[in-house]
Amino acid sequence: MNQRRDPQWLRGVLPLCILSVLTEGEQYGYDLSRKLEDAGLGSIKGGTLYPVLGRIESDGLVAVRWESGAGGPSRKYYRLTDDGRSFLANGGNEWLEFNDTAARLLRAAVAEVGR
Amino acid sequence: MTDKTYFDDLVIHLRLRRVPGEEIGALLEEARHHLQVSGESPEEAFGPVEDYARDLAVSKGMGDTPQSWPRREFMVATAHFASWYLLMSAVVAWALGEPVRVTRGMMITVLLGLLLAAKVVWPALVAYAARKQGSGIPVLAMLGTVAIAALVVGLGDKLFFSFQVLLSAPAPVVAVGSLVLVVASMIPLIRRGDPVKRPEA
Repeated sequence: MNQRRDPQWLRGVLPLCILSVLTEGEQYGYDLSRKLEDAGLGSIKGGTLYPVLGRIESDGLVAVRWESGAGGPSRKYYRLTDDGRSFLANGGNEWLEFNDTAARLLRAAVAEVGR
Repeated sequence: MTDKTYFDDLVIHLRLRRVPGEEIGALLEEARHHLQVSGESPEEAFGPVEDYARDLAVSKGMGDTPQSWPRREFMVATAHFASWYLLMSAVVAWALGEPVRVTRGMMITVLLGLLLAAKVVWPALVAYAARKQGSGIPVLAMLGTVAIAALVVGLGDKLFFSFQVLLSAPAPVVAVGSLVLVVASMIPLIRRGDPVKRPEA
């Protein structure tokens, strides 16, 4: 994906993308950022990721547990809660509808200006 | 900037945004783990420390505007200084067999000193600590406040040529009362409140 993409695009959908990755099972922060990158969202820096994780944790969409590291810092694992699943189902559908609407508009406009 | 400097600054900026110590401990632990597995520097991973602190604080439901100076610590330091000053004045007056007198010049200089400390000294100390040092804001700020207040109170009457007595009280009464205040105002300084704690696995 284009790395020069407007960061605002990602900001709106990142919570849903994180919740989507967590449907695979619990993950820690860095692991999540790699999977989001592998999915094509580009490099997600810690400065972007952790505040979003903090917010969805505060909202009760994820639960956390700590696992002690071998001689290093502990790992914080995130997993989806029932509220998180509901939010993903509802918010995901809303986002897809919005995305379809925006895509229809853009396709027509891009085709028009491209002639 | 070393990892330690970055994290020390992060703690200060999170404290200024009133993020609880337990939350700060968890945020630091997670950040350290991220750096360990990613091999990145703190600036690469998290960006400028003030911006990162703001985003984390907002994600924890705190306001996005930091305090320019820690008000609670200022109040504690001021109360402590005032009670010590009162105690010393009372002891001297008692020894001389005189009542404790509060003059207009003293009142003016105390108020000016407090204003100067609150608006100039403390914000400057906090800004200095946030950029240069990882700890010691309360101690630095308290020492700065005490130094300035001691200077202006000591010279108060002479600065303003205003010796008019506003209040007069028996020295033993003021001595005992101010001793109680000294002890009471030491309690918040001694008690460890809201420490940064590592999360329990």
